Amino acid sequence: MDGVVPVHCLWRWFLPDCLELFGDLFGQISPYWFAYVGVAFAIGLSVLGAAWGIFVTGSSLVGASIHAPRITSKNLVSVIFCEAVAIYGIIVAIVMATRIGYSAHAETDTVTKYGGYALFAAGLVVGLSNLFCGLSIGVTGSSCALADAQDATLFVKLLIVEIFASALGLFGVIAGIIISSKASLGGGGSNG
Amino acid sequence: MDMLTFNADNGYLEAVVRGLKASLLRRNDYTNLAQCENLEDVRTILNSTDYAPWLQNEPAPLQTQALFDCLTERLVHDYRSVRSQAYAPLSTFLDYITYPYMIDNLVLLLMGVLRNRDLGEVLDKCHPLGLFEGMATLAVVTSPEELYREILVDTPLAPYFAECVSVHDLTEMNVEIIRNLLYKAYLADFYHLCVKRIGGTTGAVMASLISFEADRRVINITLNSLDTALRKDERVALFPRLPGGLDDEVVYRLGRADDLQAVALAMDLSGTYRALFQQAAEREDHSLEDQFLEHEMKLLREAFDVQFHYGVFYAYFRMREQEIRNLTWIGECITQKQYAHASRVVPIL
Amino acid sequence: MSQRHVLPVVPSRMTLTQIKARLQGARRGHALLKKKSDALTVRFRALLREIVDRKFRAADLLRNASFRFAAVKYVVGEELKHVVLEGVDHAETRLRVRFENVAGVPLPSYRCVTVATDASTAFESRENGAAEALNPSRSRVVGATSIVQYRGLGRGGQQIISCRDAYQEALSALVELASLQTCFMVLDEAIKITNRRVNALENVLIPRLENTIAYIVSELDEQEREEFFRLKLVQNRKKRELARSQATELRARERRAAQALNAFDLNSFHEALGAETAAAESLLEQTTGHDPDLLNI
Repeated sequence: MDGVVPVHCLWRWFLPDCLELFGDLFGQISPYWFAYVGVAFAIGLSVLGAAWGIFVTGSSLVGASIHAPRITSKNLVSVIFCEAVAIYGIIVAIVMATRIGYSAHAETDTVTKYGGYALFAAGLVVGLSNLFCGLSIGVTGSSCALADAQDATLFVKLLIVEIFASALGLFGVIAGIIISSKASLGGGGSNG
Repeated sequence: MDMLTFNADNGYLEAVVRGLKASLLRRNDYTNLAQCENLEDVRTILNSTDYAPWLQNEPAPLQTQALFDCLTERLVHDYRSVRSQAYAPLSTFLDYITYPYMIDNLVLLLMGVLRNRDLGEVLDKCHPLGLFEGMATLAVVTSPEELYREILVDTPLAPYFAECVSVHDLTEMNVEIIRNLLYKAYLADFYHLCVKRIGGTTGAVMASLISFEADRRVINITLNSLDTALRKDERVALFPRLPGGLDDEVVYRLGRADDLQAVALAMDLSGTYRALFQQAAEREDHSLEDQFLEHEMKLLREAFDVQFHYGVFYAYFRMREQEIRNLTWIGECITQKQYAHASRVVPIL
Repeated sequence: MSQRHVLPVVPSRMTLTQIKARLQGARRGHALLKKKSDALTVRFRALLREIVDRKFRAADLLRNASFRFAAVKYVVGEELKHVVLEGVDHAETRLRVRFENVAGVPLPSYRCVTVATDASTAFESRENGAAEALNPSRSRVVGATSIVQYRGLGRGGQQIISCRDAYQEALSALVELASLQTCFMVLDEAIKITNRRVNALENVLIPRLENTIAYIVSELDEQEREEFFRLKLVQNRKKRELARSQATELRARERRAAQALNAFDLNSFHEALGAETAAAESLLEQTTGHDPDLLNI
């Protein structure tokens, strides 16, 4: 990436013997690590997306509301959408956390291993989708605030764009919940 | 990436400027203004706009000059409030917006020095946007050499001066040529700042705006030097040349043009300006300058179509300037009772 | 009334000749002044018509010029005003005054003269009269050598040139108007003075001279009559005296004869003669007192 590592080295990581090494490497890591990092991703990336979205929207909103104070209450919707992204993250994180229970031999159990990877993936799915959803809402929300300040009739139309952007996060949440519902670590969750 | 990081530093100001832009007068405002009988009617109309607080302290028979002063004061106030809240690259960008005024002011000072005027008086006539720190110390300057030294030490324009003119030139060269040389250096530097140092969306948007400004100067210098004693190589030396501007072929032809016809022929080679040229020739009451202004306003409006870049700041202040010009024009037309011409303004929005 | 309009002169024949000469002079002067006044009035009327025309024209030109200036400000911006003000170090257009003589009145006429500075030569003045100033290409050539030649190179050059031409035109129209207006005032003054002189001659001096002449003539007639009478009177007296002396002579002769004849009766005769002369003297006195022909002078 930064030019220090030659390209052919990167390529060699994907050779079969190298991959086997990776498999061994991941196999040594505890599934709980994967599970909790997944939860951290879910909430952390979601909050990052939400926060980013809020500051992108918010700074525009604050600036635009100086000359058009009427937009403030309407455009709080954009901020709420961003906030919703963080809430998705929290919800999914809680759902994921309920899947984690403790058992002494869980680390060698394949079900637990499966659960670790599943929660890790679910966390990434939710986190990244919420991150980009938040950014997307932020940018559209910022545009929406500016457009609304210029012409009040544009608000409803741009709100639909925002709703679509906000739906992106929901997709991630749905996928994340489905993935995590299959997972169970150490007898955590109803399925376990 | 501008989209994601821009708002961290500049989102607020961009939104503020867009809000300010919304308060610019529109086409129908100009239609209303053009129907005024006297300047008090103008004031009544302007009182329903953002200008109300600026005009309320003016004594009853409003003068065009007073109107102009109020409008300028507003522009300066807008600029200062935006400038004071700007972060690093934007603040530099905003500084660059004032450099043309500074060039004009310095040329004015230079003329004052060359004619042994009292510089304190000349300073009062300077445009407030073109003032810089330490300008007051220039009031004691007595010779062009001192002025040159002060400029090199005190002003942000020092590189341009160092690049374009020597101390010797300051007394020998025609001030108007100095002004154009400085402007040329300024445009090149501004272009470099926007495209190379800031880049991104700002670079893309500003490139077209600055290139247009440069092209307009090239064409204007050609047209205005046709009947003067300016030599052709001197003329070419004044042309601001930027990548993305006029073709080399067009510029070469313009540099060698002897009359209007040759300019028109050269213009045929460039798509945008050919249309402007033809329209200027076709429309009776529109000069080429008006066409340029219309085109510029179009470009500035387009700058507002893109979000997350600095071009809106530049565009806003240029639009405000145009609005001041328009209102002063309407004021002049009304005081001179040339009501028919009052509607001949270049609308901004 | 007639007393006031008579000059205080001694009525004599010489004065009469003098006054008559003056009257003649006054009459000639009156005729001349009348002619002058008519000439001036004709000129004045023509001037008046022209001034009205020019005023409208100058107003139009000025309006046009200031409108062009507004157009310049529209394109170039307000700072041009300061640039131009600072850029001027000497007057480029100056006035040249010439005097034209109309019926003895020097009428000033102004002309625009464009003084162009040249870098190499000190001053080059070019007569740029009204007709030439109207020619924009010419004035532009003049402008090209001046310090403000490249004004508006960057933008608004055409507008500035057209504004400059418009103002030059307006300036020459103004100068023409000023020339006419000054002529108008000078002429007005001259006509007033001339008319006053004509009126003074006509209503005061000439009648007074005429009255004086009439007075002198009447006075002279009077003197003549007096002279005549006096002559008559003297003649009479002379006659009477002659007669008396003749009578005395006669009587003396008689007396002498009588003396000679009657020397003895001399004393009584003397007495008688004395009484007679006394009576004659008293008679003379009587007549001088009551003579109706004599005037008391």
